[in-house]
Amino acid sequence: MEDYEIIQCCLQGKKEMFEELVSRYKNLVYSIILRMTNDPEEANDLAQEVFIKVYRNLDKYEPTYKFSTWIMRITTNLVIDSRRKQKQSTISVEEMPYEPSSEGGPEEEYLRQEKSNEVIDALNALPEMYRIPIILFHQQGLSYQEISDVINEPLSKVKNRIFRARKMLKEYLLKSKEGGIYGM
Amino acid sequence: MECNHADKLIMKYMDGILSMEEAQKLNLHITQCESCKESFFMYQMVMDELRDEAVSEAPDGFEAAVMAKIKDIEVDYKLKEPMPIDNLTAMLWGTFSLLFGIGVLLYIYNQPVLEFLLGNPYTKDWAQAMIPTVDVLSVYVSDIKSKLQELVSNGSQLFTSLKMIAIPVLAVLASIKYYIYRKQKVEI
Repeated sequence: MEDYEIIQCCLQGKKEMFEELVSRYKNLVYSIILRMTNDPEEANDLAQEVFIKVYRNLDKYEPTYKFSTWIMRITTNLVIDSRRKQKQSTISVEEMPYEPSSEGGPEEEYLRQEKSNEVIDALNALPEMYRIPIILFHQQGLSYQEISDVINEPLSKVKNRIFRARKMLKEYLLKSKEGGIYGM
Repeated sequence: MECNHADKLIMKYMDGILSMEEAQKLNLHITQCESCKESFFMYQMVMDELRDEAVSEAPDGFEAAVMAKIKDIEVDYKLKEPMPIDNLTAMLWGTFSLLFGIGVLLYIYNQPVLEFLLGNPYTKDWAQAMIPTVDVLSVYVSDIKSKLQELVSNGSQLFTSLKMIAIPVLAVLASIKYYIYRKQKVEI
């Protein structure tokens, strides 16, 4: 069954059909929020909030866009709002949602984790307007055009933000490398 | 190769649009330039990290939690329906179309209709009395027709003479409209 057909059923009062939509998009929504908040609990709460918002606004969905685009737009807007309210709290390394992998020795694992944390810190340091496009592009594999639809900004702006975000990430990593532990 | 060019190629690599030839050039440059090698390493690290975390599984029972929350939410959806036309408007449009249609047909076939009416003994007198009126009406309609033709030809002349101005003005208006459209945020 197509997304649009499910939406039509929900609009006609078949509330139970909404569960199918939740099931289809929960991982997408949760992944984006988790990457933006780095807090599994907060990501879970916000992801639920996204679906409630989707449910309330189902009649506003325009089939011109893919449903995934629409839901990602709601997701990014909601995270931005929530962050704004929280005034961006800093996230400590201990709170990162990482589990140690079984591959490699302890030292190797330590280095890998350290590098990963450096990248997470660099991403967290990015302003939201840069972080969202780069996550959507490199993590979710969206095209420039799809990102433009999600964040509702022109293609040129999206390209520019991704370009600048990459530069900022690189600068951040280079700076932290001076005092860091990983080498080439 | 200049470092600037190498940087552009790294960006293309990150966009996934680097050709084989460009990849070879970039590889060669990276082996020779320490600074670009370092940049490439940093970018690669970011890409790997993001890709590794591409899909995280939502917690167990996620659907149930959402469904429990929306259970008591009643939403009055505004379903998109074809634009409603009230009965009076429909009747007026219907009557107008009918009269207009009859008028057009009578104008086109006025002579055969008149001849038919004159040939009928019951309507002969009435039809004869109508002849002057029909003639006057025909003159009116012809006048309107020629005026309309005149207007259309004047309009096209005016457009031809003004198109050098009109086209840029329309283009500017279209650009403004497009800009406003792009700026317009969808409220959710």
